Amino acid sequence: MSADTTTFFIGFTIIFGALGLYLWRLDRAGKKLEERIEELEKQKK
Amino acid sequence: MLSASRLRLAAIWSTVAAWLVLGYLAWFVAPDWSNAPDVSAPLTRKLLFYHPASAWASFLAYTLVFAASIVYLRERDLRRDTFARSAAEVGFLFNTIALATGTAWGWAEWQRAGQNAIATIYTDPKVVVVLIMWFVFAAYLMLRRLVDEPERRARLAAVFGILGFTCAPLSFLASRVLASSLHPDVAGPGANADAAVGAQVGMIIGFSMIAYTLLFLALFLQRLRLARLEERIELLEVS
Repeated sequence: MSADTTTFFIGFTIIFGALGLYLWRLDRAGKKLEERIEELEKQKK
Repeated sequence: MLSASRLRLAAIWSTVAAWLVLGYLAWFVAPDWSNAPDVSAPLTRKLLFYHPASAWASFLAYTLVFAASIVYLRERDLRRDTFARSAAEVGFLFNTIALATGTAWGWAEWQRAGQNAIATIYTDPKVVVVLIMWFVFAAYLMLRRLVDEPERRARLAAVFGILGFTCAPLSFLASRVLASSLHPDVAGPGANADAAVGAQVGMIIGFSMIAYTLLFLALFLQRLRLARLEERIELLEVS
């Protein structure tokens, strides 16, 4: 594999990998927070 | 008027559409540089449609951090701090992408030319300023985790946010004032006519800025929603 192909692959992996990871993290955090709210609201009732 | 959830959904779908168009423009409309005699890394050069726009998105995010931090220091309203925090986190992501893709691109260009690519990249004044900005916002995000008291945390973060933002205009000026910069100035005041990329490539770069702005908006709104959920939990826990 040439240096150009390697850096091309690394460059685009960084872009889509970082964005994908961040979206996954946001989604996971959102679900956890919603669960926690549900739990707290149940406790209140 | 659009509700918050509809606005979030609209931002997500317009981002998906814009990124599909950007992919089409970058791969099927933009010139194929594989036979260009002066281009040493034609494949990696496609980063031209992704790397500058990620830097743009980080500057946009940090501008919001700057504005929200100033408003926070004047009003001491923690909602402004939440706004700044959400923008800073997304801005930091784009800042990291810009630095990492720039390093990969620079590696392809200068390592092949027999130079020490890393030394060449990280002595460019624009890169140095952006790297300093990255460190300031890394510290910003870290201190948010370390300081427990909300008012103190917000006050400290606002100062870091304002300081970090000052690097954005410095980065714009760095390549215009210092001739040693590797970054060509293709637009704006002080643009270098020799660095002109042509109308078609310029149009695609312009479109990439729109695609990244939409992506920033989608991520920022999503992050803001999480911050609101966190606040709701805090309220439920104390009440």
